[in-house]
Amino acid sequence: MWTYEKTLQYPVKIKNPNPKLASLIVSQLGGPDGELAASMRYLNQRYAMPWGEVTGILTDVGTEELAHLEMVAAILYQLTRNVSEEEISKTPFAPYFVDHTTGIYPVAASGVPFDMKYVGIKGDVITDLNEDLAADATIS
Amino acid sequence: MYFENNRRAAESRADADFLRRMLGGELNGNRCNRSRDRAPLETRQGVGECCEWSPQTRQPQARQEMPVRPENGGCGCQKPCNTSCPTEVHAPSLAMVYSPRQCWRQLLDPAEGLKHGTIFAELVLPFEAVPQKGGKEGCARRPM
Amino acid sequence: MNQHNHSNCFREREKLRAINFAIQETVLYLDAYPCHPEALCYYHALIEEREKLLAGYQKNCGPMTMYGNKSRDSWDWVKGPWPWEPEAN
Repeated sequence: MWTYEKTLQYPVKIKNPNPKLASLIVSQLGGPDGELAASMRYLNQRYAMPWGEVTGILTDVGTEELAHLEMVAAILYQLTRNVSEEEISKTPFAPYFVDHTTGIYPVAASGVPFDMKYVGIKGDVITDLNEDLAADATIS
Repeated sequence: MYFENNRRAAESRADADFLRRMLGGELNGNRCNRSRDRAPLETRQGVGECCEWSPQTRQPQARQEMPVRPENGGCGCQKPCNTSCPTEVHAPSLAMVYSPRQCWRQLLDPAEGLKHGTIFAELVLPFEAVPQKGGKEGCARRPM
Repeated sequence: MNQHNHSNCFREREKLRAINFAIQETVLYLDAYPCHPEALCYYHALIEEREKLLAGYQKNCGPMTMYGNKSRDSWDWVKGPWPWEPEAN
């Protein structure tokens, strides 16, 4: 089970709000190569692993990806603080704002909400580890 | 039953030695055999002894001089700690992915490590724009 | 207890972040190479240092996890700032 530590893994302190940037960075949250996809990939692959070492790595990396998810959400939160609706309406953030205002919603920059279609899980150790290599070389 | 068959299938597609090297370990983390788990190339003195660790604080330094811990495994040992780190990569099968074993060496101090996103100096690989063929700008990872 | 009013708390959080990260990296290495003695040695040294840092932080600044609310008079866990707010960084 998970324990939550009340601090970001790395600090986020943004001086200037920037909704235009937020409309792109949101892909790191809910896009095909984002942190939510990564956590879902590793945390769900770990159940079928035949060896403790691999289960351990997938558990710990998956948990760390959740921490990264939180940092990206913090970036989005700070990029969209204290911005007027008028400013937002002039940026590509406007469509997101219409549906979610400045709430945090995992979605790709293209507007496609997060989907498990981005993740391959076959229950086979070599197949799943190769999926991980394709998705995120740090797993190697 | 499916789980066991799956493991057997994985083991038959790639021999056990390859799997051990691909996954980097002995695949039996519950039972560490101190003499067996050493790299075949090295022998260890004083099996079972643990190094004394002493915190060393350093100032942030210029990129060319990263404050790495001594080669003796980062434990602050007075005598060299042998680290199991085979340098050969044995590749019996085609069409398989190989990950070399990572050596426990060149550790950064925790604060420095957090800044770089890794505590292993070897894994500090910043993206840098480099000229491509034909004069176009591109991105490449360069080791520090 | 106001976590962000103490500049000491900010510094303590920074130290905790650094040591947590070093532990995270060491844990990932040990997951792959569970029998590596130097990595295990480094892990224990870091854990010992973290325990001291954490005790100090939770005593003076507030809980780091839900298991760490030291005050018997107030439930500081729900008090701000939260990690995504600029004041906490």
